[in-house]
Amino acid sequence: MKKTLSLALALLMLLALLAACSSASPSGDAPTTNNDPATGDTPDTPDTPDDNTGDTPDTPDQPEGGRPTTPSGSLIVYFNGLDANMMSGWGNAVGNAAIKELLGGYSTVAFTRGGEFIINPTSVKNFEETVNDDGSHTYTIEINPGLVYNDGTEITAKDYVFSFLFSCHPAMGAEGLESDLAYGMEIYTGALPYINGEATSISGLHLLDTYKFSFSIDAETDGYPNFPYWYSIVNASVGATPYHVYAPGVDVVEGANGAELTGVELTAELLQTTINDPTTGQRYNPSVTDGPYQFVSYDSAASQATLKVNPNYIGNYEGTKPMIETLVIYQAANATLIDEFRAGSLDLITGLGGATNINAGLDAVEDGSGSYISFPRNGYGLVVFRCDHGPTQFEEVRRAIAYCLDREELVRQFTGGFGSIVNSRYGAAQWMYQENKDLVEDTMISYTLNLEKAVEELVAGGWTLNETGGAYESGIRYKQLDDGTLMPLIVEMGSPTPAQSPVSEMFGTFLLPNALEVGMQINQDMLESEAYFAARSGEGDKAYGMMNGGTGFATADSPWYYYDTDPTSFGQYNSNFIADQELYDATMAMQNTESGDKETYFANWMKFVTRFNKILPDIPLYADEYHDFFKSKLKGYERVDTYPVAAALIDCWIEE
Amino acid sequence: MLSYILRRVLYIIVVFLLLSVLLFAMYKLMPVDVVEMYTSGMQQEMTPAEYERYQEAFRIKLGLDQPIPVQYAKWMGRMLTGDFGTSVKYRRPVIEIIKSPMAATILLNAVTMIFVFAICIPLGISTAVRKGKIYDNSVQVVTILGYSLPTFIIALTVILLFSLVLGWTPISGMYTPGTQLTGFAAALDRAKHMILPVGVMTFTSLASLTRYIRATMIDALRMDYIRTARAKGLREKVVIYGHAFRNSLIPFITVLIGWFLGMFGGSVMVESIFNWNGMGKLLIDSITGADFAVAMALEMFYVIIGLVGNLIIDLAYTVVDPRVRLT
Repeated sequence: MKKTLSLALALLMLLALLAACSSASPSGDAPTTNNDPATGDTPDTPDTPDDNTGDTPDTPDQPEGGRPTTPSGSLIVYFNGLDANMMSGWGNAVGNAAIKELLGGYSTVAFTRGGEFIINPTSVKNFEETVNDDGSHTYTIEINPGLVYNDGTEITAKDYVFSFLFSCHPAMGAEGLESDLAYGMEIYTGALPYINGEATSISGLHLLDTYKFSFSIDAETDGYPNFPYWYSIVNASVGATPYHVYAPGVDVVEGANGAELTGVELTAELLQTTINDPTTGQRYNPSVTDGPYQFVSYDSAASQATLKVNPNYIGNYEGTKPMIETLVIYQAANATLIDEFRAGSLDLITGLGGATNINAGLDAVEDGSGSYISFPRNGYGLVVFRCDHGPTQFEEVRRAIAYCLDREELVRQFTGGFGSIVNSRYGAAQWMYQENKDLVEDTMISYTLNLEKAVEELVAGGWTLNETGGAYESGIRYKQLDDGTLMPLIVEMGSPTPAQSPVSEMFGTFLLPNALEVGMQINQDMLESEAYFAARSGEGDKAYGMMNGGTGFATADSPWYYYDTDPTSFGQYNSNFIADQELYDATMAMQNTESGDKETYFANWMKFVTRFNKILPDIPLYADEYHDFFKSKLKGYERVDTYPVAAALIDCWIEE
Repeated sequence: MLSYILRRVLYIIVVFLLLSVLLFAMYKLMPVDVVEMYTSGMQQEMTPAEYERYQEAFRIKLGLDQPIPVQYAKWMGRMLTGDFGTSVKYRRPVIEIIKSPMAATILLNAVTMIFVFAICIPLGISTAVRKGKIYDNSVQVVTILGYSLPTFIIALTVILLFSLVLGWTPISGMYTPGTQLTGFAAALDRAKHMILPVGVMTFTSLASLTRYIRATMIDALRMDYIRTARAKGLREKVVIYGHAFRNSLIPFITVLIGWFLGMFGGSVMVESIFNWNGMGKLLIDSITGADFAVAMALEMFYVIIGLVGNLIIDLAYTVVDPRVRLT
């Protein structure tokens, strides 16, 4: 019997192993795989522009310092968020955004590591902007000949024109597809009737010749003027879309009323096959791309996507080509991130914040597991004031709260020393700050802990009474309003629970007792995320006078949307419910600066941040010092928070 | 028997519908603005007017512009035809989202089940035979540790020991990242990644099954037919395995069926810590991410599994024990 049991146990173990073996490849959502052009299963690679005799920009010398001339090695990069959507228009998880950045190459506009938008000299030969009589602007763009996709197909003006016609096509909104691509396209002249299916062409879009096309932007859309506009260059940004893959049989022609599609009809059924097929559709398996990398596979079970260098890519806006042969985008478990780094299953972890994570990473670096760089976050933690009711509607109260808050100690304890203080609505990584640090810091009020100044502010604001209307001596201060009633200085504060934001607890130490000392009572509620977000947009059961949270700035940061004095914007974009004309005018002056006029923009920006610093719709608390941890084999890695990781990797190489 | 089955099927339908209403109502009561949650990322990319249009279109797309009873009727109607809706997070049909995690969870649970039974059956028998001895007490203590300690502590401890200190196993994941293995090499890689999660799930499952088998064996060993067998002079091993164990298998088969049905439900903790993209991780991600179409589809699936599973277990009793009559 003993022998029988032993045999049975061995058989069970074998069965277990067989079960593991038999399912080694995910059955339901198998990895999608492309032919790897680098392995020779592709059409011949045409001459790159470098091989042509002219018409293309000079490629700058490659950076020195050991950078190789041929791609090699591989890098496993952690991103917190990765799913199957590899194409713009269907969500944008962090890892997917990086992949899209790496797969796309020849957009007409590039974003530089200095935080500026420029016309991409690699893809654009000539760029011309003309102002029309009706106030609309027309952009005429001639692309460089010789640009090719990774499959060797030449890129022409048709691929750029197709991008418009494809993104705005009504079929893209059909059930099952429901792409987001058409949102924001209404600014282009003639796009709206096309999106609505009322026109077969976009009247402002023209295919001029093989390498030249033009499009126009209306003077205004939805009552918002499109010009002058600081980011108008961003609206001139368009990439190439391989219409031979997305819509086989479809052609792009110049029609009687602008560019249009001919040949095979672009239908939802066709796009379901070419775009939406779970295995071969370009949304999940973007086989033809023009960026520094090409898609190899995505494995949902393993949470990883693999990219390989695109041998046909001629370089980014500086002409730099990628030198890391294989990139693996991997979503590891957060709980064991640093352990994975130590064990070598992750080569690069980006954007770690918070003392616990950073110290764990630094310990790993100390143990010889790799290196790190740190950089300021393009955003900050903050206290948001509700400026339309209660005591916080008065700027003196907001300033008094700022003087009562021991920001230095709070930041030191929360970030563990890995953070800095900013004094207005700016990120320490933004070029306006980076290029003018001293001037900005000298101009701003720093609001360090000072209870005397807090009292001065309150007195100046009329908070000099007690509950009976007599002179204030102790307890809670009161103010007589215009209608004669007395308002107590009691501020309701809403905070995310400490589990969501550990900083919430710290107000109990660094603000609330100090506020009481100057005659202000702050009642803090800890809110679960749903209640918190409802309160932030002014929809909760209780209207909070102040709430702590965080914010990040978009690449094209647009403060002019957030301080509109129109009450209809309150609770949506204007989460401060503030109607300060001077602040709004400053933002509008920024928006209306001619694109590229940095001097004027900076002057307007200074007015904005100075006004902000004075009236304090928010108290900026801390800007984290983000840390990226990487294995020593990664060379040339440099980061600022305004420059995407994916773009930074183009400058890197591997030394094993 | 047939009328019993029909009554149970009717009961399943009624309970299923009631639970579906309850679940749907619970999700609707949650104070989450799904539209705000999934569109706010676009706010900085759009003008206020564009953003407003975008939000409205999103609301209509999710059917949230309809009255709640209509939303329920549409959801249930679609579900009964096999359409579980579209994931708001992944923007893909739920059925496509579930396939891969389902396969991952079944694999993990099947292998765990094999190990659990392979260990618990001999342990349960041997502890029953040596009831009250040091061996029995030692097994009780060791197995109860797995039951008592929080799973995440066991998981992190084994990661520290076997992955970081000894370097024997990968820390987490289902494959080694960056590899494109095929065939046996891929299977071996997958098996290596299964060692820790299977080990933890097995360890935490030992106590209950070992005790169950031990208890049924102890009962069986007290029976008259065992005394008779011993009186006949049969060898002790024949008495234990040939008579006592075979008879104790009757209730054990129902446990086996329960485990089999439980294979479809993932372990939230183990799958999250070991980055095993199974049903448990998907469910918790769906709930925290307000991806209610996925969460409700999974939960209704578990409701069906539970209800049908109970019926199968009851029917199995009649098969393995002719004394049982279902009326």
